[in-house]
This record gives sequence, C-alpha cells and structure tokens, in this order.
Amino acid sequence: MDDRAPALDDDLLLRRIQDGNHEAFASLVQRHAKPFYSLAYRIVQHREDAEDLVQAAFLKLWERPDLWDRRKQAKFTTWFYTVVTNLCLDHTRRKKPLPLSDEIDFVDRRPGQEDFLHHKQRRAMLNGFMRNLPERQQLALNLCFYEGLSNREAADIIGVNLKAVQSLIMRAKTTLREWLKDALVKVPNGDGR
Amino acid sequence: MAMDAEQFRERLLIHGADVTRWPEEIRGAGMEAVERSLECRSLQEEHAQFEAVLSTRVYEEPSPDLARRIVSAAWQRERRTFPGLAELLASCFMDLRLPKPVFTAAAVLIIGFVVGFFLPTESVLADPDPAEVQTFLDSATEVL
Repeated sequence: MDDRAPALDDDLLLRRIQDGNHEAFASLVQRHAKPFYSLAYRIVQHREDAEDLVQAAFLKLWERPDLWDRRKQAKFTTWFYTVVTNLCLDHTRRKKPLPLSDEIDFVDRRPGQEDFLHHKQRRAMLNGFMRNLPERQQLALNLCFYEGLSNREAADIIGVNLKAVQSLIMRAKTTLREWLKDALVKVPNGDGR
Repeated sequence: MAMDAEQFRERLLIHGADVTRWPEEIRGAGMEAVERSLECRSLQEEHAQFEAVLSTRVYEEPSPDLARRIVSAAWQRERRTFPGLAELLASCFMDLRLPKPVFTAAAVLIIGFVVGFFLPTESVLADPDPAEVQTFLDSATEVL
C-alpha cells in the first residue's frame, strides 16, 4: 500500500481513484466512512440500513468516479453528503414510518424502572418529534446541530440559500421546543404523576 | 453593533448556545450581549438546556469493520468505463435539480426524439410501388 496515501487531500485521492487506484479508495473510505454513516444514521435511525446506504454511496463512487467533477463541485465532502442524503431520503420515503403513539408510552408503573424508562422514553419521544418535523427541517438540524456542519455547507447540501437554511433551523428548533415543553408539562416526572 | 434580546434569541436558535462558536462577524456582539444583559444570559442558559435535551437523541456507533467491508465490496465490483444511457441522461440534468417527474418526462421526450430521428418514415422516404401508382392513375382517368 502507498504509505503516503492517508496524508493526501481528498482531491488528490479522487484523482487517483479515477485512475483506478485501490489504495486511494481505501484511504478515502477510511477517512470519511464514519462521518457519512453518522449523518445516514441520523436520517434513517437504523444502524444496518445506515451502513448499507453509506456502502452503496461509496460503491457508486468506486464504479463511477467521474461522477465527482472538481470543476463543478466545490468540495468532495459537500458533494458526497448530498449523495448520501439523497440515498437516505429515498430510503425513508420508501419505508413506512412508525406511528408516534407506538413508541411513546409515558406511563410505566413497574417498581425500580422509573429513571431508566424515563430516560429511554424521553429519547424515543425526541426521536418521534424529530421524525414529525418536515423533511428539510430535519435535514437542516441533522447537518448543523448533530453533525456540526456550517450553515453554508448545509445550504449547499440541501440546495437552498443560506437564509433559507437558517430559517429551517429556527423553525425546527422552535417547534421541537414547543413539543418538548408540552410533553414535559404532561409528564413532569416521567412517571405520569 | 449592539444586539438586542430578540436578535440574540434568533442567533441562539441559528448558531447554538455556545456563543464562542458563533461566526466571527457576530461573535463579539453576542458575547457583549451576554455580559451586558441578564435577559440574554437567561436565554442562553435556557437554550443550553434545550440543546442538552436534543443531544440525548439515540445514536448507535457503526460496526468497527464498516470501512473494511465497503472496501472489500468495492474490490468485487467491476468498474464501468462508460456510463449507461440512464446515467448519461441523469448527469446531463444533474445541475438543473429537476423534480423526478419532470426529469422522467424530459428523458422520455429525448429518447422519443432520438428514436424518431433514426427511424425511416416510410410514407415519405419509401419508393412508391409502380403498380400502385398505375392503379391510382387509371382510377383518376376513369373519374375524369
């Protein structure tokens, strides 16, 4: 293996991948598989599916490295986040979402379970609320809050302008705050009392 | 420029509770607002609590061998030198960000045009059958 490959920047690795260099592809995957998986998981909320989708995106790149065009796209990661996002959104649209009421059972009266279940229920509730947000609001929050990307980069990935992405984040957070507030008023201690 | 509580609240939603990570051009004004205003400080604390709740969302780490699995799957695949027709059309429309139905309709039109262009149109191009022409002329003469 080429010892220098891991230190190369993405553009150079991609040029080598376009020449059929296996080591360059392995380096690129090693470098980026986890962050792309992380976004995929945030969208599909299922480990195996997220892994399969990231794999599908990388295989697409391996088979057709010419899809990445340095002259057209500003940055490899921005472009590839778009590829992964589109695959994940197609996947979630095909898959029927779980109804919110199946996941949220606020009342559990088994002794000794309160704290653990309270925590678990709050996480499930948060997931349910996230899924109920409009698709682009979810995406903006996943990219900026959970993945820590800049608003500019998120705007490029979603395909909107900077103001629009900021508005999506504001609306997503405002709605989630309201829903969480209402739910916590309903169940102040998580045990239904 | 000084930031009032409403502007500060909006910036909190957009950039998060950690003012030190705000974009450089508004960071100073944000920090100044926190120091100066009790209301802004309380908004910031409240937003930090909200973000702490958001951070509890379920996340599962990927399998440790994810990267290796992707690489070995790639080795088993043939690389294509030339794109297929569908991919070629898709790459032509990639920059336009067309919705799927529009893309499909445009692709069908293009394929139809190409097929139509290469198919001979018999009514115009085919040589006329001399026997048919003679029959036509005979019947025309009779009518006249």
